[in-house]
Amino acid sequence: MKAKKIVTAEILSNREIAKGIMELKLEAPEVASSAKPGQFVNVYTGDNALLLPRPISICDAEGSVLTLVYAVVGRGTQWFSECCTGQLLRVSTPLGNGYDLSVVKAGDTALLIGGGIGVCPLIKLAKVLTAKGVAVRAAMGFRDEPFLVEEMKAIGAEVAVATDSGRVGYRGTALAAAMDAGMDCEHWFSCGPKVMLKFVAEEAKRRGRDAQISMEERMGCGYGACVGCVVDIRIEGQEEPVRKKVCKDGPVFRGSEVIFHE
Amino acid sequence: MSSKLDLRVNIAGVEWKNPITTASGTFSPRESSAFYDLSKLGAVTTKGVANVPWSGNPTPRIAETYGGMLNAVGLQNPGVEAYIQEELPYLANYDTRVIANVAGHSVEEYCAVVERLNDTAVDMFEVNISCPNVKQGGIGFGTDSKQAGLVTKAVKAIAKKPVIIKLTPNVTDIAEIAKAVEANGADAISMINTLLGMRIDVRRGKPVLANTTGGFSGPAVKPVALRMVYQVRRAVQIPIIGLGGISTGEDAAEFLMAGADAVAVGTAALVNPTAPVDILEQLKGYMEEMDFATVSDIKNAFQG
Ligand SMILES: Cc1cc2nc3c(=O)[nH]c(=O)nc-3n(C[C@H](O)[C@H](O)[C@H](O)COP(=O)(O)OP(=O)(O)OC[C@H]3O[C@@H](n4cnc5c(N)ncnc54)[C@H](O)[C@@H]3O)c2cc1C
Ligand SMILES: Cc1cc2nc3c(=O)[nH]c(=O)nc-3n(C[C@H](O)[C@H](O)[C@H](O)COP(=O)(O)O)c2cc1C
Repeated sequence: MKAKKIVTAEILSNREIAKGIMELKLEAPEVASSAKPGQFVNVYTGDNALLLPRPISICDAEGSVLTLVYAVVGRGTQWFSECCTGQLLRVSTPLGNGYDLSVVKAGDTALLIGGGIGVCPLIKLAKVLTAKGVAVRAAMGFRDEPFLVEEMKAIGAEVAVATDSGRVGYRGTALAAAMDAGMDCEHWFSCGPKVMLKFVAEEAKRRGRDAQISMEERMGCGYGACVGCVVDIRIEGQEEPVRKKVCKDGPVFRGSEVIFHE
Repeated sequence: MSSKLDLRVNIAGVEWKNPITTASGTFSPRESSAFYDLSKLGAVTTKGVANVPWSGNPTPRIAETYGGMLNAVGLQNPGVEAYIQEELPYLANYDTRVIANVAGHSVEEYCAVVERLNDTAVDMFEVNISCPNVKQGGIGFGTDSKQAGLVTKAVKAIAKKPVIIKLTPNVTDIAEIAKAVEANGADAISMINTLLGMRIDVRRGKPVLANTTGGFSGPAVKPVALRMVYQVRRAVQIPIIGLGGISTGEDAAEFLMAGADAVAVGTAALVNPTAPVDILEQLKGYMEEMDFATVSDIKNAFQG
């Protein structure tokens, strides 16, 4: 048996949980059983014109059920949003390295900062951390309409919500909300837009922490064959950065090692 | 049934157990072997390797197109020393032929890689004179029959293994280039590399790829690749490894009928990691259905 494969999974539900945000539940025992927080899966559309798989973070995995939450932003995610219960979808087994939890022990505190669709992988992360006896604080930022907040609270995390519009919670970014509320923790984990990750990495550094951040890049294969999705990584004691693959060496990197351009 | 099939092919004196290999840049020994047993393939063709590490182009490097994709990876590779230390020992675990795809900006650079790999387990060299994503060199050699001939001659003079020259489709007359490389001693030809393409994000008013242009590949390019293999088969005698959009066993059979002696699977393997072995199984199924026992039977059945 090979370690990785593409499986066919039955859709258990596919429903809108906020405007343009869908929650997809799949019966996918092989995927769910090996899913680690921060990993992603490749999801295939049934539209032949759309060649490439769509990388989607593992939001949750319980028993045989895999939960993905996605924003409808283009033709592929539009296709997913039209799928019905009972329909079969092709999906890969988990890809990439998740968050490194070997550094976290019972009694520690962890700050989870998510921006927009980047809050998705933090659900599974919060569950695993909580089960490890780690106190979780989550700052969740959105443009206007929050989602997955109740799920995060149900895990037992202390939650701060921020919106750009100020419609719900703190007006501003998740990071600012967390810092204003004094939520700093020993461990920082984050996922969201690149600019946000840059600020998270900088703020963590200022406080003597090293955030684990999940990067996003256009991918070809998602499993390390095409070298399409790279990020510049600083190597200790070396002048030239090294270009690492987001899909295979990441998507989670240390804030201190990522070189942000622009 | 399948015991009756004999899929062996001989490419420039090197016997492959079947006519399927991977396309350079779409295969990684460790990553691909997480999905399938590399020993099932006739050969594996590795990512372009240069004499020193190359960092490639900025991102985004990938864009999707209708039934295809654009890439502007720019031949990022860790260099020939890392290739010898990391990739070759790993490939030694598998019973398959190893084709090293060679990248360079100059004749000297191509030759440096070949020289360094001469006394390794590499079975064949594939010289990429056709990459559209690297500013100097690469495609510059592949679009001019004189230059293509010069590179071929220089590499042939030092190579201790058979030399495959990989051709670009971005030319007016590909048969002319093929004749030039054959005349200068090429042992085989592989074709096609990617077609030069482009996409624009009309909301941002900017090219989708950071490199502006990129190489177009995938199912959408298959008719172009097939036509070119057909033309080149009529211009040269040396073996042809056909590629460009192959996604099914029947696609592979089409290339064999057009004149290829073996085929490579590229973009299909990015979409479906097990594509090379799936295509092999489909090809066997097709051969059984058609009552073909050998690869030559497929080729000979073409009446065009
Ligand atoms: C590691 C990783 C995890 C992700 N997790 C999630 C998640 O949990 N939920 C979610 O909604 N989205 C997630 N994304 C983004 C998601 O992959 C894109 O939104 C999606 O591919 C868009 O597809 P489309 O066909 O609707 O859009 P189109 O714009 O039509 O897609 C065209 C092409 O661009 C690619 N693409 C477009 N946007 C992105 C993007 N932001 N990142 C990477 N590739 C993109 C597509 O995969 C496709 O190949 C993740 C991306 C990565 C890299
Ligand atoms: C992401 C990517 C990287 C590639 N890298 C190389 C390379 O390093 N050397 C090379 O000769 N061709 C390279 N190619 C070209 C392929 O080997 C092949 O010629 C082309 O993609 C057409 O075949 P396909 O449609 O089956 O992919 C690359 C193609 C892709 C999509």
